[in-house]
Amino acid sequence: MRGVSDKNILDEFCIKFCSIVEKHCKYIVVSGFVAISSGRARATEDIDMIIEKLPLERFKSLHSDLLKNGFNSIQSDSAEEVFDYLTHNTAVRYIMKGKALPEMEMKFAKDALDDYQIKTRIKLPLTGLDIWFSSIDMNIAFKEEALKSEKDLKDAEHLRTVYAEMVDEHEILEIKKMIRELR
Amino acid sequence: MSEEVQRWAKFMKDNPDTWKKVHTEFINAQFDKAERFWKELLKQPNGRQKLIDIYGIKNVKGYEGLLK
Repeated sequence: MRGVSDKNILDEFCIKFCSIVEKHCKYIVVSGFVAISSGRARATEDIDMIIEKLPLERFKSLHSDLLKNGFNSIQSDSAEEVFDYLTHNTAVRYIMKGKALPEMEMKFAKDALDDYQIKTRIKLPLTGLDIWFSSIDMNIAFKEEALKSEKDLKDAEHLRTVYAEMVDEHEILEIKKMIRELR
Repeated sequence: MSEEVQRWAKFMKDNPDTWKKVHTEFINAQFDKAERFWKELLKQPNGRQKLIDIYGIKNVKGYEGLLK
């Protein structure tokens, strides 16, 4: 049994991963982990991350830093192979060596909406985590407009409740419009 | 409105000093369970291959320590 501290297993994994990515590029953590780190009581195996699109040489440096710091890619050790997945808009997955879970699922920003998500990224003091998240409005909009599963709609409801003072309905409508146009 | 989402949000609000511990135990328990199940499955015939299939592992070399 792992010990119980202020930070759970997902928190610790995410903090370590983000501290490495931060040195190489802009990133955002999106979707389920935004809700979970904001107190939503549900499980997940993976954390979703979007990073700015990098040229191969810069990605090689990031990938090598991740490997050096104890992470493994599920797809390959080769930076070129992993880069190839990313450039074809396929998510790549990293785990901590010796631990099958959790996973970080990383994608390149693929369009103007992802660029906007990165541009409007925020930190959420309530989570107790010093990492970059996509905005609450963005997460609500994606979950209500694009993802729409029961789990996603409950995540959106949780975010609306916990961050009631931060929610901007006009911004959510604008993002939903962008989602309909771009996705 | 979902009843359990609202109930949990109320619990967080009413217990600002203790909800995080409950939440952490809940999250960590999922991983303890998955880790235990992983080890049990490895003991079964074809367990190794099942894990490779379930998790879509392509970099088997990178997983060697976890698959024996």
